[in-house]
Amino acid sequence: MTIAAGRAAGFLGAAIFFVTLWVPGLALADDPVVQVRTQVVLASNQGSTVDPPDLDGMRKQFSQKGFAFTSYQRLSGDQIAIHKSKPAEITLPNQRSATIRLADIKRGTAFVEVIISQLPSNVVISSTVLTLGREGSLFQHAGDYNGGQLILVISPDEKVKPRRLIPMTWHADAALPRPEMEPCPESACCP
Amino acid sequence: MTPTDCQSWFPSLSAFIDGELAPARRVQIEHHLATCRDCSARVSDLRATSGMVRIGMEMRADEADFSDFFDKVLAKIEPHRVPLWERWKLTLSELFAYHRGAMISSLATAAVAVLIAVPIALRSRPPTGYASAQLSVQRVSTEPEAHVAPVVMKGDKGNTIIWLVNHRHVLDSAAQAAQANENHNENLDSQPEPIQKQPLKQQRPRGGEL
Repeated sequence: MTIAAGRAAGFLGAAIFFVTLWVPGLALADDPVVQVRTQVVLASNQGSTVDPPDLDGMRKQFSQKGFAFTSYQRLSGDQIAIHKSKPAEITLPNQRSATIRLADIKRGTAFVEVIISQLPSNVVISSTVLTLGREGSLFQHAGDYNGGQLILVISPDEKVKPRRLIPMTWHADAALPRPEMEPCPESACCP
Repeated sequence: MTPTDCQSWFPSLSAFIDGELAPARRVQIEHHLATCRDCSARVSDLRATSGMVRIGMEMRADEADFSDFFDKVLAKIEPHRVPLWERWKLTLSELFAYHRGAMISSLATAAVAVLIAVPIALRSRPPTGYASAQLSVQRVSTEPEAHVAPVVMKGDKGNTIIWLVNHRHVLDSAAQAAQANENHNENLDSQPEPIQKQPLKQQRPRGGEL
């Protein structure tokens, strides 16, 4: 193969490579959007139901932190897309609302702001800025409701899986039994 | 030997000096030069002239500047530059003409590699915004008018609980205490009884059980 042919093949490969990088980049250059899963959970001490059962993980998290709620009930849940130009709003049953805003995306990490406001005055009660990750949830307290506490749960998109490169499970083998040693007679080793 | 006989040798003498004759002819001339004084003298003259010319040429060559000789020669022999697109077309046509099999197999391999690599790259790439491993709370703030204070509790695996503790009751109880103190001072004037200190009643926050 001639030098010119080698150059042509190189140019062709480079062109394919850059097109491969460029096409997904076009989608990102548009209005950025992130997907999150939201749930509104009522935690209370009325009864001992955990509904649905996958809230058991949340119950464990809360009990680890000293919360003594006995009942966790999901009132609503949704998978929402947050555009940078269009925040998502969740109306809570206790005359409050949660606004979820995509503040920025830096180095592939989304900065999301969760604002709890009082309705109908829209007075801001709290504002939380968080960075999304492939693992973990935000449990944002949103006030009293119906004898319990409302908690807004923000979790990663269902398609997002935490990366586990190597299964970190290791079990130590049981120690080998040591042979029983009989005490030596004093005269044998101690002159 | 007469000069007329020698004239037939003259055209070959120069070639003889330059070593350009066939061996048989060279032997003939050498035999002739051994017997002919005139031709031998002519050969000596020719050798002397040739040597002088050679020395003169070498001196001229030493004086000449050959620094950009190569570039000048290349500039004369290189054709004008063909546009890039034309070169591409030419190269590709040559490739497909002389290496058709290799080119087709290379392109097929490249296409298969792209078809395999792109979905893998897109799949291994996290969705937009999820480059970080774990969710992390950066900042929590509350409005003073809301009379709540945030309590941030970080759990394992990126879980974070943010609890809003209502402290309006603190202000209310402080106002009630001040009011009670004023009433108590008014009562002191009318009822001069000894003052009994009472411990401040602690109220648990209403925000939730911490």
